[in-house]
Amino acid sequence: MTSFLPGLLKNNSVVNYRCSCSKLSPVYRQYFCRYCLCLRCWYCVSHEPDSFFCGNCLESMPSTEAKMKRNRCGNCLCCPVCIHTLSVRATSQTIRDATDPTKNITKKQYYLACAQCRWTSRDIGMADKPQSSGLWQDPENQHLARIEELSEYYQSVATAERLEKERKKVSVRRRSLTMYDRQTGRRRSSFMSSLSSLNLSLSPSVQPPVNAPAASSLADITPLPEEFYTVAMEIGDSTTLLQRHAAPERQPTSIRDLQPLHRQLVLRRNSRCRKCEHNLCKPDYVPSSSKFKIELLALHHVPEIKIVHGYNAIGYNTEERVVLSVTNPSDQSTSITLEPLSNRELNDVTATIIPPSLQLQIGAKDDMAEFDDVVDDEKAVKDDPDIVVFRKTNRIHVVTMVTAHKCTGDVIVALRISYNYTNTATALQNKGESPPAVSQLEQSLIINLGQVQV
Amino acid sequence: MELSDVPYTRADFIETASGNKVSRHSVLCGSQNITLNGKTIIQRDCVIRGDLANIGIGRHCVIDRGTVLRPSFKKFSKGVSFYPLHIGDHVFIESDCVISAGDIGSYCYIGRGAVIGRRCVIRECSSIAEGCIVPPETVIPPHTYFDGSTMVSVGDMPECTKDLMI
Repeated sequence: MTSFLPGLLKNNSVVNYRCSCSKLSPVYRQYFCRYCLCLRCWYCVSHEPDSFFCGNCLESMPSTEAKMKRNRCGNCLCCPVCIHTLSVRATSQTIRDATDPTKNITKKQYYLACAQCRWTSRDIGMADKPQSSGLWQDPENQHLARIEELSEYYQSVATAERLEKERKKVSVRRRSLTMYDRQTGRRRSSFMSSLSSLNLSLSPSVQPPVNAPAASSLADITPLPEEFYTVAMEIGDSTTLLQRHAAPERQPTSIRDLQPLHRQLVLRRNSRCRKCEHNLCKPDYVPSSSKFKIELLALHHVPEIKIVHGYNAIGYNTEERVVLSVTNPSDQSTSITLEPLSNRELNDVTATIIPPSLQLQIGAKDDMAEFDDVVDDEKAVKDDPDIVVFRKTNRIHVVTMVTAHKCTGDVIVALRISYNYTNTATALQNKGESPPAVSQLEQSLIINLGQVQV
Repeated sequence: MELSDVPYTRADFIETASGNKVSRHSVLCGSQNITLNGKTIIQRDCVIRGDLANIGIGRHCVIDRGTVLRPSFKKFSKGVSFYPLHIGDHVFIESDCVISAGDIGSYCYIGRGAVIGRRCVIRECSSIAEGCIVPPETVIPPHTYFDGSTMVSVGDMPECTKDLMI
């Protein structure tokens, strides 16, 4: 059994829709702005961070807290060798009772272990802890004080520059505001009185702190020890570059110096239309939920066209029958028209497609249809079997004829689909007083039918 | 591409009242502990070890050929205990997979030949690539696509994964 998902996962979709910015991408990767009534691809939307959460414990945290914790989870630790999440293992240890030497006490001790590479905290000499969480302390960062000094200094410099800019803007406005009114010839005193309420001083700009610690260069560099020249290096003992850069503050060179790392947080993002600034996709706050607060996806608003299996390989200059499936995503029935597009309108077209020229009706999406065995013959649409070979609720299969005009490469055809779109956004804004507006929309798409057969 | 209809011989499958189709050539051990919630397809040569622990499979799932569903276990000082295995709705498990996970959420896709380690938790709308080996006790967040033997997050699944998996 084959599945379409491998193509989706590898991002090589055969049917690509043209976005409003003229880029091509699959319909399941695009959004639909129902205020602008057009498709928005990944590059047409602005991505904003919504919240951060840990991929292991699924604990959510706001962006300020994530910034304080340097985008790391406080509870979950990763293996320094393979970056897999560490799990806590328990062992029991028998020790003598301090009060009664003749008695033995069994105590539980905990250590960290990696299920993928079998690394344990005992490999680096870390002692077992009596509790499973809270006692795994991070090693001290010897550069932390210096980094904090530098960041405070640069923050103060940035604040001073910002204040200087604002001071210059206000002083320019004050000079322009002392001009005389053109009509009456009087001074504009109202502006002066409003300015006097502001505590602005024209004193010299705020100076950055003088005590900024400067970096000092080393005059004497300690030479390499003799071992580097005489003792053969053990490759198994040294860390890889990825392992060193995973802990940039220490950059351990030996595997014995590796320490568990805090797991990096995962970002949840909002997508917003760049033109009208409306939110197109906003996930739920709970990290374990796959629902969305706002979900304006193209797949829910634009008819989806797919190729139906079972067509012959298309030969050069021979007409072949290709069946396309068209799915209506909306809960209102729609009528569609398919038109071919030439190479002038879309590049890389190597074949022509002749879709049916008449308007086709597609039913509304009905979630209860799979449970309904009764077929209403009166409402059933009578199709020409040469044009529509299959019909079921909101999906039809349409016959098209394709002719390849190049003897090498892929057979690529271009289509335009026109359909009726019922915009419920306007109806919601008017609080149901007016019926939802029906618009005629068009989408262009490119279909890759595989290699041409010579 | 539209998925093609897969013809099957009715005699090769046992069809239940709730629409489950189980192949006669599959091996279901401890069937009293196996729950199929409806319209689930279990292909031939599958091995489902319900004798070890409870296995619950949701609606509209497809378990392809040669897949082994084996609940994971934990050793205690006094013996061994098996964890139950839960699979959500609309899950597609390709052929030749070995599943020891504790929990697979709804709308997930597991590629051919993948090995899911013991007590893994795969959240909703996630995908595991072909041949991927998921280490034990891994938690995969929702809408994530994992590839490779080191299980690195390569990209995000599209937001409409639910609609694509139906």
